[in-house]
Amino acid sequence: MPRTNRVPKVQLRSTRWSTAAACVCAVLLSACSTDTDTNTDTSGRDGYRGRMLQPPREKVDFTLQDTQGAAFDFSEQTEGHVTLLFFGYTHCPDVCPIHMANIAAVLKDFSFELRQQFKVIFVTTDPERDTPQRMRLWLDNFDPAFIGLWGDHDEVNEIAVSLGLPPSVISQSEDGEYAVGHSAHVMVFTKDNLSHILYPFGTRQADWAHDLPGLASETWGE
Amino acid sequence: MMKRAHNVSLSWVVLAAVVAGCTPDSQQATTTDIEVSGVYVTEPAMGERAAMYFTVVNRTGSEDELISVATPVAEVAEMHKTVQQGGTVRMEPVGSLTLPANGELRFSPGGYHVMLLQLNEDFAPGDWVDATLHFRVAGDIAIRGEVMKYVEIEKALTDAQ
Repeated sequence: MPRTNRVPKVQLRSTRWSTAAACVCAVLLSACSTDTDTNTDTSGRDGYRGRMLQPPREKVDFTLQDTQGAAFDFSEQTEGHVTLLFFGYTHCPDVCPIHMANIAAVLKDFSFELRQQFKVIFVTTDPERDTPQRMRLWLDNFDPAFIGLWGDHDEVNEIAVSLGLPPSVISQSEDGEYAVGHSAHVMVFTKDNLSHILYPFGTRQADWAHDLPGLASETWGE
Repeated sequence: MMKRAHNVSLSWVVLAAVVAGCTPDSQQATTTDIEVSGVYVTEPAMGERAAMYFTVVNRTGSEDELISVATPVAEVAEMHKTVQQGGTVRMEPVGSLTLPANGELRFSPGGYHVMLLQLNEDFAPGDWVDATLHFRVAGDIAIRGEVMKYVEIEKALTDAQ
């Protein structure tokens, strides 16, 4: 199968260089105060409300099981989409469901055409309790189109770490219950298959609504 | 960077204050100086568990301690803290919490919450849930909070992170 997700290092470098150059231009233009066009390639870059990643992070090749039990090839099946990737668990009290609910609420208001450009992927960090079936039921509370992925604990941690996210940690409590520590961030990949931006817990619907349409057409100055 | 609202939904505070005001305080004279507001409960995820939040304001000059929480809707009500550290988030049980003199104790998503486990009854957004907060000095304070959809919860997110 063709592998188009790996962005060559050369292109990465040129992205950064052209962005730097564009920033300089933007500064010069605004200094002239004759430029009324605020919709330049780079103006959006500073306008996003997430946390910018410098340098951006590449997608990682992995295949996990989806909620129908089918193999989901992350790189291949997210190609051409803006992909929102989150590691969490269904017993999570607030961070996970609030992230999912907020994203779902915003996507719901998008036109069909815009909505189709996004994929939301929830990878469980609690493979013991989160069966694919359970994940499906949980995700359906937010958006039936959300994708749930399942893999064993070590496998999922390896993926998280290679994406630059913290691994999950299971902590047992005395009553036999346990909690799962996981990344608080939603990682967003744009159509260039790079993640330039992370969204922490506390990101509001207004922030998602502000950023997501722009990310769908973002070219990062290319 | 994100902007965070500094006013926690005013209507909730007013509403909860009204409910708290309905609590007969004859047996607990001291509780009039401790006000619990902004009480709300998440919709039960998968019908199994829910989280409860509120803000306790202490108008007295002496500190108190929130020892435990009980509610008829759940067998177990545990106080937990969500700890955010270096991009990770994890949950830790807490034994009891100090309510500072002339200070407040806030339960909110991403911070403290009361985890309601082993639910005794079904509840849904729009329902009201009763609970009792046990304080070491002030004794019991009855509270009531509305069940909210997860999508509504962000209105109550703290500005602290």
